Amino acid sequence: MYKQTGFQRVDPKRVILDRITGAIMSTVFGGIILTTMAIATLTVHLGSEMAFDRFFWVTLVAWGSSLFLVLAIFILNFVWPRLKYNATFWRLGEDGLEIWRGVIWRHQLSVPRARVQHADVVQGPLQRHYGIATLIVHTAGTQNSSVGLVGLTHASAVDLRDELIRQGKEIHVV
Amino acid sequence: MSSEPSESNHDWEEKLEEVIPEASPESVDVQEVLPETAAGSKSRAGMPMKRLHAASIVFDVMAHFKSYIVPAGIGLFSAASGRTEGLYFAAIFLVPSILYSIIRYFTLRFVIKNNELIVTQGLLSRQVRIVPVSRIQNVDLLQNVLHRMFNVAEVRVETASGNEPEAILRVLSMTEIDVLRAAIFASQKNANTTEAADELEAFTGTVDQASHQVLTIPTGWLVKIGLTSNRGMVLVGILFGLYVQFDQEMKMLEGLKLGRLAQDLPVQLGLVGQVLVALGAALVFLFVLRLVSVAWFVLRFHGYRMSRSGEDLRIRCGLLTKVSATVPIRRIQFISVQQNLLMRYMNLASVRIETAGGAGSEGENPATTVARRWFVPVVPISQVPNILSQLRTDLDWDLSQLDWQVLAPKARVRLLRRAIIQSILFILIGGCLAVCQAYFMHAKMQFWSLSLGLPFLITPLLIVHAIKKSRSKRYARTGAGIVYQSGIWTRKTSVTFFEKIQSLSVSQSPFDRRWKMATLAIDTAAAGPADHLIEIPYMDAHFAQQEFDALNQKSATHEPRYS
Repeated sequence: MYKQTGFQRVDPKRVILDRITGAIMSTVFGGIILTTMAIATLTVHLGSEMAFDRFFWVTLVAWGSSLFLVLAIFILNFVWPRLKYNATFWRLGEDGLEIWRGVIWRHQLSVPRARVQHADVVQGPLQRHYGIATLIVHTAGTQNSSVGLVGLTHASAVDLRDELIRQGKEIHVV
Repeated sequence: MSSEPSESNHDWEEKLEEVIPEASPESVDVQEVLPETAAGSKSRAGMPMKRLHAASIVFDVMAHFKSYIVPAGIGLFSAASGRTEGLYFAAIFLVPSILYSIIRYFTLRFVIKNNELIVTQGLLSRQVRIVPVSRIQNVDLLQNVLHRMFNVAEVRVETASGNEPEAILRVLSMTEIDVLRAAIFASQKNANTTEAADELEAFTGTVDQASHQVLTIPTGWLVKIGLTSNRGMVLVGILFGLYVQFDQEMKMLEGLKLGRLAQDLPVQLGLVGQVLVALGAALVFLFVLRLVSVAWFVLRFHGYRMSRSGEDLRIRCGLLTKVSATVPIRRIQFISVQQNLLMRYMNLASVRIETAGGAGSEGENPATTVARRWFVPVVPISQVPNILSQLRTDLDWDLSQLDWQVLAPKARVRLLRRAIIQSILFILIGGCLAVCQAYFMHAKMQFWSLSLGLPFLITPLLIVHAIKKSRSKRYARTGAGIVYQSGIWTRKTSVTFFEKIQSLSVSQSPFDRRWKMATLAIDTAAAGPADHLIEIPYMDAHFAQQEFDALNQKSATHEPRYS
């Protein structure tokens, strides 16, 4: 459906960026899981001589599944950014800004140009390093009063913002 | 300014010109200050600024007492029982608020100058708020019995921003309001808009512009709507809260405890008798509830009168607390006609609207209650088209003529399937519960048969609900906007307009994709008071996409209109 005219993807560097944040998250979570496992194992096995024989299989299964879990977290955090990137499109048409996003829950959003109240360009430290920015468009709406587009290059985000807030005449939006 | 009743105009203009020779005639015009307030302080620009009425302290403290009702209650009870701890506790909350009120009275100043309402406030950190008069959405006036004794009223000035009123002037004397009216009216004239001023005019009774009556609501209708409404539940909630409070604090209502009441009943009633007593109690309860609802509606909306003056609608109503509110027609974002089951039988409807601003977290203050949540509390269904045509000339409210689109053909199947899955789950849970009760807890048969049987009773209800739900939702696109109808018990029919659409979205969950369906959502400003979001689920995916594109194009090309 996105192969309609004029839809663009965000900057591919977004995948790298998301993978880095994903890797950090995975390391933290994996670290917590493995540390907990290590503490649990040590307390059980240092407790008594017999523990090694009695809990051998339990320990093995527990370690196996938690290692698998940690691996799965890493893999998911590696694959997910690519899927997210593949599902995100945007277009600035005659009518306004249109955004497609979402891997499992898919959303298609549209903000008419004349309804834009103001627009922000936001950059975190990692985003700044990769020259990427998030554009946040605010409307006077209630449920969707701000619409974000992550992963544009900083220059194109700024351009897009300027383009969106440029209006020929003063319009009362509400 | 021609209608300005102040007789000392000229004296004051002269004096003001002495004070500020550099001021333009226009701005002098709007500073007609009453003698007793003119002696107040001056802003940096040298403009004399006005104070609130001296009774403000009392009303402000009372407003704060409302939010500290629990500590205040504890304090009162403890004082009544001769203890002092509760009083200290209450003082922790109340003394600062009294101090705050006094400081507020002595530091708050306001003035209208150069088409701007300027309010300054604060002792340590000073706040200066400037509201362009042309941006004022509504000026609501509020006058309860106590206000009337002091001949004052509360003024709320609202713009499109945020949830709270831009300025609450609590309270101003009626003469002062008259002056404010004149000032806003003059400024609005300068700004070529006439919005809030008319309503101030209406309140003080000096109507300059020709206005014609749109609707009055006789008390009989209010009684009818009260009988159909569950409004009384609010009071029951409050009573319950008080009961719990009493119970914890004083153990005063020990004798009234429900358990005790049940114990005192004749025990020989048997099952049928118990059921009958329960039913009777429920009926009495419902009746009392309805009476409370009737009372609420009559008190709130007595003498309801809606009139149209230029491009504004004015509403005045209230028996004890009088409310006067203005709704600029072009600010109406959303119109919703709502009917619950009983109202449908009685051919009644209520109309709710949404305007940007002032509608939100603050909940139910009487002014917003009247102007937005209950725009027209009750009206015979036959008169609805007439009223709506006052709101929008391009709105043709003939529901049978619309090109209605129902949900996707398979929506019913999908909802039915969900209902059946839910039923099976309930039956399984009920079965497990029954087994647990019978074997492990040795419960009586009437208990475990209940957990076994109830899910089977619920199943047909769930299925009927699913079918009704799939039929109740429909959508239509007209020349001016879109109409969405939904609701099984309370049928809500809402309309919004292309130029009021703030953003659009089509969403698909994994289940939606399997059924080739989508949810179309339309966002407007201040979607809230009418309690009806335009989020249409189970639409045919292709149709939803088509409507998304069409609405996208329409909402972009329809410029916000000026009237």
